[in-house]
Amino acid sequence: MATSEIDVQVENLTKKFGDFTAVDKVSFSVPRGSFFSLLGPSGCGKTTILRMISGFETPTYGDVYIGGERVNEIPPNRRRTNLVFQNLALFPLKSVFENVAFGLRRRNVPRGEIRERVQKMLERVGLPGFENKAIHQLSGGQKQRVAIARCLVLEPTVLLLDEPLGALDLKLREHMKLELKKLQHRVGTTFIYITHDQGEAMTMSDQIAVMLRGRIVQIGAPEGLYNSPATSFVAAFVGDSNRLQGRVLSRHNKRVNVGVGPLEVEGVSQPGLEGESDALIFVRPQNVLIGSEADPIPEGYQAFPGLVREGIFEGAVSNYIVELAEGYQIKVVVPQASHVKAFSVEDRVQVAWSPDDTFCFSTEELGDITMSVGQE
Amino acid sequence: MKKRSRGILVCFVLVGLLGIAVPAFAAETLSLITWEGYVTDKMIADFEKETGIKVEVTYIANNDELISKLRATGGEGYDVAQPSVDNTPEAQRNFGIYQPLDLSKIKTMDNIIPSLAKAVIEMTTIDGKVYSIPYTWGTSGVIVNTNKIKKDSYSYMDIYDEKWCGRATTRFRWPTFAGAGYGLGWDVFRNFKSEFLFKNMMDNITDFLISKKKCIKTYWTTRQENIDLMAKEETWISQGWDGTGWFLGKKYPHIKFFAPEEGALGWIDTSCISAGAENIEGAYKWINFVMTPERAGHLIEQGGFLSAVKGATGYLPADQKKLIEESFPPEAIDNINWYPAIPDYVNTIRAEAEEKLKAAR
Amino acid sequence: MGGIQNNSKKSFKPFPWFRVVCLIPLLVWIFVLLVGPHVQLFVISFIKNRHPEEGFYLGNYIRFFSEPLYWRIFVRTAIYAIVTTFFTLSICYPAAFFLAKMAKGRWKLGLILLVVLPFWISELVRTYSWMIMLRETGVINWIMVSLGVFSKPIEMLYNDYAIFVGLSYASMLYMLLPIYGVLDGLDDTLIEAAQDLGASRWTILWEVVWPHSLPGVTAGCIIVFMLTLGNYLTPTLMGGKNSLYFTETIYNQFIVSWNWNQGSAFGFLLLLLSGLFVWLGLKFTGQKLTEVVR
Ligand SMILES: Nc1ncnc2c1ncn2[C@@H]1O[C@H](COP(=O)(O)OP(=O)(O)OP(=O)(O)O)[C@@H](O)[C@H]1O
Ligand SMILES: [Mg+2]
Repeated sequence: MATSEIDVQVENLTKKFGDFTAVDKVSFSVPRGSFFSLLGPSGCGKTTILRMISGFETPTYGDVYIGGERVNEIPPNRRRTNLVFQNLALFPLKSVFENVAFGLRRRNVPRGEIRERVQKMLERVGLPGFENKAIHQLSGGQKQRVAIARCLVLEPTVLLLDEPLGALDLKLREHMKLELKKLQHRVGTTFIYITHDQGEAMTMSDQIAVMLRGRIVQIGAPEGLYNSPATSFVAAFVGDSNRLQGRVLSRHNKRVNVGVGPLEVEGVSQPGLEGESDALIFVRPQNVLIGSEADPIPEGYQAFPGLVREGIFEGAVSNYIVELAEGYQIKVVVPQASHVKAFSVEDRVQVAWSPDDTFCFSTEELGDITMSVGQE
Repeated sequence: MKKRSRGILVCFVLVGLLGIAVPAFAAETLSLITWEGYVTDKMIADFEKETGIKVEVTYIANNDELISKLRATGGEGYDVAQPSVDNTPEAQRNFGIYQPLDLSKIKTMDNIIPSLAKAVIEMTTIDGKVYSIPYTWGTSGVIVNTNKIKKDSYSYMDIYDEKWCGRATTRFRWPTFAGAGYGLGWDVFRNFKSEFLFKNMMDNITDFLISKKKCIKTYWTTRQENIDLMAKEETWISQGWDGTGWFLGKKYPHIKFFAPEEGALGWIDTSCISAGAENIEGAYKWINFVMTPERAGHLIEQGGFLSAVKGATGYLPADQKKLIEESFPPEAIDNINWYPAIPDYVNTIRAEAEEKLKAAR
Repeated sequence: MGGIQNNSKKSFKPFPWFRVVCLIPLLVWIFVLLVGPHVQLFVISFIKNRHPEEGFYLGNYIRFFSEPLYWRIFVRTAIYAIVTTFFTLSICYPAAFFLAKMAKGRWKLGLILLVVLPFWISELVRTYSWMIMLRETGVINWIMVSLGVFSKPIEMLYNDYAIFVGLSYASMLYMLLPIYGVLDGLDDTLIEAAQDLGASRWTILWEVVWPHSLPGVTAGCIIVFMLTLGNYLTPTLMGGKNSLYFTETIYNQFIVSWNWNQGSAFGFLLLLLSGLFVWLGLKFTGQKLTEVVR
């Protein structure tokens, strides 16, 4: 069933805590050497999946395969996976060296070799010469790298990471994101990475599984999720988007016209949106054009006049909030460049976007969206 | 920290400080320091009904404890103390823990057996002032389970008989040494004359007791412990107080007190007023209250101790009277060795001997 | 002592008057109840009994070293205390581990209550209840004879074992709580991390749990050692004829011999020697008192 190209595979994995189903029939497979992310809001079951893969929880039913071998009955200390804990779980009373050497010692690796391998590993994570430091002397990012080194030095088939960047500040986080990706590239180990930060998942992953309430709602490459979200939740959770709510007025083939207050917006009907019901509309800010009232409108685009309410300039891009009608605003992102016209607050403008870039979903998942992404 | 929890903490501190101050406002009380069995609940209740004074009692296991407690507080905290007379002069000379009695305030003086009153007053007159009057008297002898050990008469040496090794109990205190001393043929109390004689004798007795230690189940420390050991038949013979024996005999007729062949050890316990007494009037009221024949009779019946009050035995039930008469035929009374007042070197030698005995294996 | 939160220690800074209010009871306690009497006892320990006019006098201390009896009693007492400490530790460590790491929810609360409840009763009553259990005509003997395990009752009281049982029981809580405290503070993920890195149960216990619990173990041992060394009631009541314990010697000096000077000297020697033992113990295990207190 599992080929040698697949490092981790889970099938119908389910975990119940009493009556509560924390993980519900989850299946996915992770190819060797890839960076796989589990993305989802807090409490959706990510950690539970990881704990089942590493062996700290037993699945209620379903199977876990590592390297093609079913491992359900194998205890954590004999699985070829290693876990970087959400809180890192470094041994506070041991030095950096002792922490990294801990796993090698358990395998009875000769002393000399331990010293050599630990040293090499610390160099690889960018901490050469840190052997004798105490854990409390390290910065957050350094601790995180020690935690990763402690696992990687064992050359695991799979490295599992449970939100290792969660405790870091924004700046360090950005930096560590890139570091981690580079590291994975260099060592070539399969990474399964948990996060609830979609930006993090997008930057680093080869594949992302988006989870909601114990289930996987969509698996795919970052671009795939971004460009063709399978459900309104994915659309809302992955990447930035404008969200409008209205009611279907008419439909022809895959196209629907949706009444949003005084406006009428045309878009692509997604599976699940049926008849003349309530609809949720998503438009990426990058896909919206902005121009003065006189500017020509590209072929096939729908255009709306509006008033600039806010302009936020952040180096490479400019963000505008444009009010189309009372209470209906849209965010626009355009590159900040000499050939792109700039606007200021209170300017009368025109915004336009293609119906092909307009995803219309049913309002079924509205509750989950407001819970995990927030009110628009 | 939240504001509320800080408030709660402050309250705790204040309540704690108040707690220290409150007892000062309680009703009039009288504080006794005495032996188990010397005061009964009924006496306390009757006294409170009659005078409105509340009685608090502290019990002691030995005389030294009483003296030390009074010494530690300069006599404060206790009004009436009831030590054995043989310790009183030495303790008073050293620590001044009692105050002289005003005998004119003791209306019940005439109720006391004259010979006891005379002996106690003589012994505790220091610089012309009297410090004690008798309360009870009694003896140490042997308490025997006659189902297990049947003899015509008993000796202190029966305690150490190897035939019932491990079934005997005594205290590891002075009366045990004195009893064993008489059993071994020493005239113990005569040897108080000189420190050298006394020390020599005590060394001998201690060696004997150490050699017989294996036969002692345990040393009892409180009267209750002695009672439990005998009543549960964990021990068959015990050196103990006559009152304890009679108390046991009421419930277990085969357990009896005997004055040993060598003579019982006679003691007199007294009433004193502590030097630091706060309720001196109450103390006299209490002394007068308890020294009437019917209360003394009640005391003998309940606690099992002989009162110093004349005719107290007249108030006793017949069976108890019989027990006492059995223990003390007339010749046994004549044979009692009364504890004399102790000279000052005795305590140190005694304590060393006790320690040696207890530490030995 | 979690991995990440280590540098986030902040001291608590309320209003100054609050600090004063907090400290008043402690200062009153220390000075009025602790320092005062001790100073007095310290002074009289250098005075000859009944001969204060002779001035400074070392005889009370010299007597302890020159009289083999006292030495022997002291050494015996110290051995009792050490054995009791280890015995208590060996019972309480697994119990504390169970309470902190294995028991959950209601169970945990119930068990902790069960452990703490007996300590709401006075020590005297607790000791007597042990005596009722152990004595020749006691509960255990009755059960054993009824079941036919013993052919006749056995005296279980009034010997060294009874003293160990009594002393260990009396100090159980003081060993259990500090160890429970440190183990409860041990992050479960540390244990899991060790397991994830390939450690077996025993390795986890030895490499992760034990080092983490050392401050609690040391604190528990110090408290139990000191308490046991200073216990008077249990050895006197349960040990019967063979129990001469150093505290009883002190009692005898104060009470029986009327010699407070000698008693004070013994008291200070006990304090000094027990301090010495604790210091040696700390030195031996490489612990620091400041860490233990924390
Ligand atoms: N041992 C347990 N007993 C009962 N419920 C549990 C247990 N562990 C987890 N859960 C529940 O299972 C659900 C999933 O938990 P999980 O830890 O997997 O969430 P998560 O996706 O990792 O969340 P986060 O991003 O906040 O870490 C949660 O609702 C949680 O309350
Ligand atoms: Mg989690």
